[in-house]
Amino acid sequence: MTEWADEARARQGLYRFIGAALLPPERERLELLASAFGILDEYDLDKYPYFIAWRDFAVVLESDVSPEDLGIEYVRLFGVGFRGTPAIPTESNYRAPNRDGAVASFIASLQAEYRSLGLASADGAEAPDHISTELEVMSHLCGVEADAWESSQETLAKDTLKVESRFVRSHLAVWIPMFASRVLAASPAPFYERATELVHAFVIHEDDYFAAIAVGSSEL
Amino acid sequence: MSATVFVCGDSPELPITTPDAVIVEGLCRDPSLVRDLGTQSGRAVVVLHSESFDLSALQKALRRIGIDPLGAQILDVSSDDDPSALSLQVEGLKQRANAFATSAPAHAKPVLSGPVTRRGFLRPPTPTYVAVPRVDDSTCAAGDGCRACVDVCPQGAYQWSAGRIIYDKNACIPCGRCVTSCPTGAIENPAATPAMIDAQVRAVINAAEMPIGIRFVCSRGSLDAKSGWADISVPCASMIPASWLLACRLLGASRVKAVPCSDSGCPIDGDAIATEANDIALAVLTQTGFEAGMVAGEPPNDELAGTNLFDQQNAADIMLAFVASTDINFTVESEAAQFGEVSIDDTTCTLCGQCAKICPTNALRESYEDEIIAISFDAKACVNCRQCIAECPEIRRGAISVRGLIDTRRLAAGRVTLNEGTVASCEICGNAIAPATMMNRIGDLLGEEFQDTMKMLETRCLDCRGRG
Repeated sequence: MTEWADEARARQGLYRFIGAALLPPERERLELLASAFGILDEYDLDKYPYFIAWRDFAVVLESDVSPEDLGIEYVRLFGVGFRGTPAIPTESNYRAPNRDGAVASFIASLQAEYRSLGLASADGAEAPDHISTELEVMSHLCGVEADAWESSQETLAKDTLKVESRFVRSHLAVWIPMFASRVLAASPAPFYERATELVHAFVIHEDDYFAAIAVGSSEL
Repeated sequence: MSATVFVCGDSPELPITTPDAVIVEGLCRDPSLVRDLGTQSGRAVVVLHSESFDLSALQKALRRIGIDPLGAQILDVSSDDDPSALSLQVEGLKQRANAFATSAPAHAKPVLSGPVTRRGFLRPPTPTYVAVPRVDDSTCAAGDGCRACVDVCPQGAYQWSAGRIIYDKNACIPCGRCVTSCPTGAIENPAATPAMIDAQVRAVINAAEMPIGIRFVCSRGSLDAKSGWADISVPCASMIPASWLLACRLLGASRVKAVPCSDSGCPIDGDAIATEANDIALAVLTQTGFEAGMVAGEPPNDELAGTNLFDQQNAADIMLAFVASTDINFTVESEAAQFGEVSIDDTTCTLCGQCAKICPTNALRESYEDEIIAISFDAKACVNCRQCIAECPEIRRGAISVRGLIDTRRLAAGRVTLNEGTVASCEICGNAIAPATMMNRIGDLLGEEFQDTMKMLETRCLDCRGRG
């Protein structure tokens, strides 16, 4: 089970890493990303197609990125509440029908889903449907899965894999491609261009990989 | 910067004569060795001589040196291969790799080597990745009702829903029929784009000392390097349209063929389709007497130098190029023809325009001028997708029909009017209401007891019906 645990740990780290890359670009956060990159790169990520996007993001991360300049670009691309924002990074913006109360209803349903997983929003956290929140939720689930493999709780590990698969399929894999295409159409700075390509490639691969395993297994 | 050619050096008798090849000892046994070598171009051809090499390890190593495995060309050779034919293959693959653009996340499909059993859960399965198509929503005509990909997919991987195409990657094999059947070119497989095929075919023809034959071979089969032939790997021979075969002849190939994979058994019954494409190409070559000229070694047609001959948009130009070369017009009728001939029965067509609305290539067009509504047709734009038949509300009365037809006179004729008629106008505001033929049809359906209603429908537009 060690390899399943390693795999889940790598994914736990990747979800958190990418989620952090899409939060406001504070200096300390960027430094943490740079150091986390080295740790995650130790895993066999080159087995997967998103490795190319991962490596491309590394090049940007290693370049001299200014938090101030990135901050301006972050608001231009993702600034919730600004008119004409190219790509608001919340799921409801892509999926909730355009009518009164639809966004609230969508978010309430998502919060109920989080509660069923034993999760609640922390004070000061981004919105429940913010890209970083959803990626953090997946990171948490991968952590639960890794713990289960490490403690030989095979059934719990597989059940958690199913929950991960469902969450990716019903949320991230649906709206991230639309979000990514809007970001990339807005001529983003290289940091956000690469980060967006990475989150897109990673989420699509997660969905495909779960599907491939499910096709070949009666247990998932 | 040209693609790097990595060659396994374990087999001393391997007949590779490519001068700039990088020889790697033990590459077949351990494909990860390429990760220590690097490449400047981001493109690669990998020549191996073992059928049992670890594809997953090779893809992993290629990624590590910045190469997208979906664009890398892998050639599995044997000591039986002809050395000069093999060198030709490598040259063709180099140009094909160079022409690879990029792949999107949606293009990679993970494939597991077998079912994930309970025992398999001891370690996570490492997939290999194959390139699958992706639909470009911005050019897809599903919004107008087109379902051409749904119709041709042998796996049911495509579904049409509310004006959008839903694609199931897991159901896809991929065979590529959707790619060459898409009327608007909205579906692309990054591993076998028309640009890559064009580059590879031109490369092998130009590099050969004598005119050679081109075989399009299913990727599930093995490529043979036989003297006088060059093999072009495609996802399935059933994706090959006749225009691809004819394009090869225009470029100077002495012979050409889509090779059905009957030996191993085509899992999607593609052999018959490939045979039809061969038959259509043969019919064109026979009618134009093209064979004799090409065997004599005439140079490739210079006018086609800058044109991607494997792009569906240029298929009609290929047919007309044969006419230009031989001064012979030709006609080939086949259900599988890339072009269609639309006929409209003016006694049953109501000029409702649904056929023109759905036509993904605008081969059928509706126009309205001087109170005359008309449906016109341009044979050069018709791809025989038959979406117009599916949409026609009067199809049971035979209002429209399509037959697969390559008729070079019609291709060159331009747009012709198929049906036209007057339009009923509102007696109050003068605005158009509907084609008179459609009104007649509605009257027939309603019968005599609704004559008053019909009179109102024929003489008042929607806005004026409530007025006195």
